[in-house]
Amino acid sequence: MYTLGFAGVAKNTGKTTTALAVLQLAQADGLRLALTSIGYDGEDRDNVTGLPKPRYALPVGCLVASAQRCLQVSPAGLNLLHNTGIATILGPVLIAEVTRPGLVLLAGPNQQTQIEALLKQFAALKAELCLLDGALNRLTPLAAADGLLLSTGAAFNEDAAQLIDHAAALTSLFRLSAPPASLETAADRGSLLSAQAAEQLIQTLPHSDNHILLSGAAAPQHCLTVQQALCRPLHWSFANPLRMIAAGDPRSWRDFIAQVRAAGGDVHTLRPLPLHALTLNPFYPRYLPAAGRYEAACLPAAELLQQARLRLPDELPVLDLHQQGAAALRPHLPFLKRN
Amino acid sequence: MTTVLLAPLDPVHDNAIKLLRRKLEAAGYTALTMPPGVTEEEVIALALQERPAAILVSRTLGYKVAETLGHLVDLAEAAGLRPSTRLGVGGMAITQETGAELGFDGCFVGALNMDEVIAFIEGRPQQARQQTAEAAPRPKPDLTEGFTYAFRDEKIARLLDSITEQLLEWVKDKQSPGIERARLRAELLTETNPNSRAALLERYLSFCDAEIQSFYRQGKLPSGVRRLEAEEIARAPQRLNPPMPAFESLRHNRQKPLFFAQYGTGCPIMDAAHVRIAEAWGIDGVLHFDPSWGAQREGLLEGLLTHEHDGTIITFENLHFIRSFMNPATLWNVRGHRGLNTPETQVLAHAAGADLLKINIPYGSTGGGTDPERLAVDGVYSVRLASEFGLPFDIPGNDELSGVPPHKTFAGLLVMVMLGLKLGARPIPKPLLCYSPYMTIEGLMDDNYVDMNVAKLRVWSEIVDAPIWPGEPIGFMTHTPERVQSALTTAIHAALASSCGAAAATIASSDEAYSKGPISGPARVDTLRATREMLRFFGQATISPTPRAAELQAQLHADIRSTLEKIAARGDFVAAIYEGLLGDPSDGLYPGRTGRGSIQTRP
Repeated sequence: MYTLGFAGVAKNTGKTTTALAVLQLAQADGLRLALTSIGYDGEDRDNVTGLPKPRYALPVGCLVASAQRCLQVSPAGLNLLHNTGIATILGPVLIAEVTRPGLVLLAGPNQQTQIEALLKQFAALKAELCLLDGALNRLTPLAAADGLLLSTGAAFNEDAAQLIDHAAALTSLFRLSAPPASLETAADRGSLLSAQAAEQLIQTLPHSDNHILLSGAAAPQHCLTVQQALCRPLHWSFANPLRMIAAGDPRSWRDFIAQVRAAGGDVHTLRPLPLHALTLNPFYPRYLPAAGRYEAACLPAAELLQQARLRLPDELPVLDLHQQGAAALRPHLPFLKRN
Repeated sequence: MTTVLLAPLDPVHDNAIKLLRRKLEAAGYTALTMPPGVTEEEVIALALQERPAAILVSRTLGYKVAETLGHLVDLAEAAGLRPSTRLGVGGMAITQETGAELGFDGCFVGALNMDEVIAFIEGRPQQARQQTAEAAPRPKPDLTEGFTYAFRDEKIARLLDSITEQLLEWVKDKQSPGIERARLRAELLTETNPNSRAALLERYLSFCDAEIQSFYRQGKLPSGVRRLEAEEIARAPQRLNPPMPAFESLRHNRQKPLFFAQYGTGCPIMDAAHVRIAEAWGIDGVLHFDPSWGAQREGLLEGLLTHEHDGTIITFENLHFIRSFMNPATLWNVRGHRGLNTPETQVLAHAAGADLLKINIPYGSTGGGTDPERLAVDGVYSVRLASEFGLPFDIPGNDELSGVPPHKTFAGLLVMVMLGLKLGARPIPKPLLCYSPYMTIEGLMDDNYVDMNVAKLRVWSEIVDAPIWPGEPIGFMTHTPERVQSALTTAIHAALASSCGAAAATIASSDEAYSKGPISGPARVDTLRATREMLRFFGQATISPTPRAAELQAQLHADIRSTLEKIAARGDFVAAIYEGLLGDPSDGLYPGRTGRGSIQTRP
């Protein structure tokens, strides 16, 4: 079973639209599908902006893991298979099989360890492809996936240049290599989230150590403080790109990585995570103060896509699914048939 | 000592955090608070240092705030805190769905509930409110408990005694198709032998209209009626049994009044949904409203039936279906105060689990449209059934809405009270809190709505020690199509009923008078929410009328007595209704005609 995660840098950047596109392609290929979400998906309208949202209409045979209260009100026909034992605010997560096509509300496990347990249960039910939908800007639990599709868009930043710069920095983290085998194994120092913790690391790191392992949450500004204070070639290892993003702006990470490399060191991730493509969504909710509501607005789509492709590396597919359609994803997803 | 980390994640406000700290410390926890304006990184850094059992975040949801909260959750996961530290969130606009979307372990919606918070910190099941609702059933209140039914106005008691004795004597040898059907229906409900059942049904149909006969014999459904489909029925439990919040009374710190809501959308599934909504928002009881055409036919249908217009068809299956979705503690009233099926309605309501019946001969045989003679016979029989079933019955006084002055309406209610007591039942009169046509024409409420309504409630305590239930609904004719106005006027009438010590009150949805179709769930919540706020505002405080209320009360009392004197002097209660002693055409009231000539006198 291949698990594909859908990550977004913010709300309304197109995670669910991307997931629906993959669902459509995988269904056409006859794959046995499984679906869950680390958040809550399935409402008609955004609960902040009130603007319409895409919804999951699932085909017969699709497996779904969602909280009991969501399945109870899902219009699709569902055959409940079993209780995963995972608790959420909306009740225990149950696995069901769709028996009549229709809409399903999703609220699945929200922690990586819970997702890993669920994936084993999906695999035992002979799922071939699991779609793991993200939520908002939450990324860390998606490390349970085998690969990712990342969504960004004007809902994150309406300034096209800044949006693309952020995307460039963000996607560069997925290209960090694993630590070389020659590198000395380092003690795991967990997280680095405060100036005090940074100072402690500076004071206690033996001069002979050239490898710092932070498998928890580490903020780039504090890492930078340590790098600048120690001022020597250091290798920094983090758990995976998602944990790095969770603790700091990718542009700050970019600055940090540049300094590390300038000092003769390098930055690694213990578990590189394949990023299959970046989807770019020109939509954003524009607030109308006089009316007290939001309206749908868009950056110029073609121009945005062109600028992004110029800025991002050639090997990373950058797609606008509204312009290009779901089929544009097919060549970039290893589990789909090649047409 | 268990440590809890409290973070506002708000640039300015931390009142909720301060309140929570005080309550957690009182409960024996170490509550670490962070000031407004701290970042997510600072919260997680402190949590890594202190390793709290829980991080509780208070934040009002707005645009981009979700990302801040999501970031906190992501950081906690990245930092490896989640296996040992539970994450909870609360604040304005936070819902359980947003809590799930943000990835929190717990979500606190609405007013602070410390039991829920502590259960969360301790890692007990998160849905404490729901489980409480299911696991600890409420006792069902008794509206009549504590009332002696002793008459304080002895003269009125003597007049009522005379009137009701005459009525009971008059009905003694009379029979109606409605009573025959009620007896047969009771047998049909328990008969399982198909042959015996078929024979009973044939006898039942001999007392029915042609339209009802063709339903049973040819399967022909009345216009606009259809059977619920198997799939609709099968899906109903999934739709109508979501986890429910624990019951939270509307009454703040008072025991009474109990609050009732009306339903009758035409569709039993929709009705059950309305009942569930009302229960979730704190209603004590509900009233089933049937279509008016059902009251004009001889005979009732069978099966799970829905139809296109107001009022839900009375069948055992419909009633049983709706009841099956109610909280067992919810009081349930089925109206049968008028119409040709009044006795049979009581039989079905009782069989389906009703807690209260509704019977009123004077109103049902005037404003309700049923022939007075017929309803007198059927009504007395129905009160006997209420007594036999041990169920209280309420007596709606909605004839005031036709233009009848309250003293005439109240005289009718009092006759029904005495009739109920004589037959061993427990009657509950329902004077209307409203701005009736009579008040409008006479200018009696030009200055305020308080004095006359207070007089109408207080006069009862001068006459009899009985539970008073202002109905149906309170605030009638003060509502407009504007929902805020409508909810507000209902709520302030609820506060007045509470202030006057009413035993119960019926509240409308904010679109009830002007919905142009079935009422909506949000409009139902409007009035429940408004009433809750109003009762919270007043608490044990009371509303003081002007001295004019006492004058109105005295006049009302005298007029009631005078009306009863005229009825007693007439010596024939049914004739008194026909002749308008309880309201005549000048009051906008006419004797009903449905079922005229259908009474038979036994030899």
